[in-house]
Amino acid sequence: MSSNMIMLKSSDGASFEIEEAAARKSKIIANMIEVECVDEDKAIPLQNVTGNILALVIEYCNKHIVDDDDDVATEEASEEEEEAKKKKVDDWEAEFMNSMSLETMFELLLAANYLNIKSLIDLVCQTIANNIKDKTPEEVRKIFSIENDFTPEEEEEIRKENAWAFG
Amino acid sequence: MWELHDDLVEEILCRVPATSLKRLRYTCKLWNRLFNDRKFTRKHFDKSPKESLILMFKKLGVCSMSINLHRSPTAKITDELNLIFPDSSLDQFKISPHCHSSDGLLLCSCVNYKKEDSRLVVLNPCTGQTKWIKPTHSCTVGYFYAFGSYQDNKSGNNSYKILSHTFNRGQYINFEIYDMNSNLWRTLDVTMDCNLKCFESVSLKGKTYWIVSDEKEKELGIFLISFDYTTEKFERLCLPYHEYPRYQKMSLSVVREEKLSVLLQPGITSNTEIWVTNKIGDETKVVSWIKVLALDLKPRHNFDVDFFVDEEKKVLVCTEDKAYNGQNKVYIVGEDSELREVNYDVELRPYLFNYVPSLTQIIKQGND
Repeated sequence: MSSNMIMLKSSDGASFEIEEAAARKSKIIANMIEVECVDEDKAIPLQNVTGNILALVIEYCNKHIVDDDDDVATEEASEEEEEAKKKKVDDWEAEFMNSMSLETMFELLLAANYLNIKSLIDLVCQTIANNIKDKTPEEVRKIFSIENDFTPEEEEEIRKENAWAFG
Repeated sequence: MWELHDDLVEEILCRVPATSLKRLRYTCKLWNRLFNDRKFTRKHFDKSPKESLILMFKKLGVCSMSINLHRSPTAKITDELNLIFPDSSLDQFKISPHCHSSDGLLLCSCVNYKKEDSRLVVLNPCTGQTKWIKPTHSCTVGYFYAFGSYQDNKSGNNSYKILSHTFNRGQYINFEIYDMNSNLWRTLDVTMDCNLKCFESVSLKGKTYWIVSDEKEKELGIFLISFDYTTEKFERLCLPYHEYPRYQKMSLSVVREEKLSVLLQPGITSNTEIWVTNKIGDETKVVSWIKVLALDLKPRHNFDVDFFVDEEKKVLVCTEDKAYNGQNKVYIVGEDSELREVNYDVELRPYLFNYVPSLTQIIKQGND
């Protein structure tokens, strides 16, 4: 495992030290490291991510880099062990997302998208999906800043179409 | 609160369960459009959490049931869809209660006994899309239909086929296949070289399964045979038992469009076992069985063998034939073998179907 440390700098000027292996979870940062854009003494500036969100991203990456190392070490792990480990990660992720407001989730999603961390995009999208599944269209419009662009006639048309169906 | 790029919105929405997302299509035009976007509905099918509904059938309709599995069980209709026939008079037709599903689409057959007329219908009860298909024979009595998906090589899209077959001397014969891409029936030159142990089949992930035996190789006992909708060939497959005892009851069902399940009651005993396979997907090479329930079901209970099993709660849910005592009953049996019964609407047929709703589109082509 590489124990190289690199520095990340948030849009509001906060600096974070992170193991290179953890930072490589971000495809953008991994690319920068590949093409040697990273000066060891200089922090990588991340224009679109604030300090509090970057702290969450780093917490996620650190947690998952440990898990990835485990995978290599215990390649021959039994099915039960694999399942137990997966459950541990799932529990951690549930706890991690549970403490977050919907607003923070959206910021985290934008950051994960900007930094291109696929597994974090998946996790945040699934959590937001769980959050909106029982809401009404009116509530969801507020959350996503969406205008209702249907005319009453068009809305009626879909209602008719939807009437002959479950749900 | 936040404005997100369309592709991130899609990433979120493809993870919302089908029945919830259906309510959210009123949000705006963009969200509504996703409903008719085949790429999106496919992605949604792959990524959204799978829901599980219990369906029962009325003379002309499909009902979604809520069956409470607790101490004092209840069974009530939560949703109902009555079929709208494209022609003919409605009241003459009846849905045959046995159905098949694939990716959230249902195949049902409807028969008008008086006029010897029949239709097949593929429907998505979640989106309300339907497609009516004329079988090659005007009367489908004695014909059986199964339904499965395959990947179309040209477009890479999933498409669907209907397998039609009829019965003679313990075997299914005269196989014909309908491709929903071409809207054509054609004869299949295949033989099912084994003997059926029960008529009904189940479909899962592009294959249809039957319980069979081989009269020429009796030592093989009972086993499964599957029809693959991509290769259009049969393949044999093991059940948990290899012996050849007489089975009083045996029946197949599908768990959440993921696993096969079999109910076996060997000999003249009340011992009933329910076995479930591992998850069966496109990549699955080996099918293995795990016993999830061993029950003592007294023979006096004349179970119709339509059943489904809730693996987590360890309960069997099955129906009883109405002719037995004139009552429509669903039976719920837990690990303690204690039988709890619940009456249901008299109009419902004693047939239970475990259905996974989806937004899967039915291909519409030509002039239908």
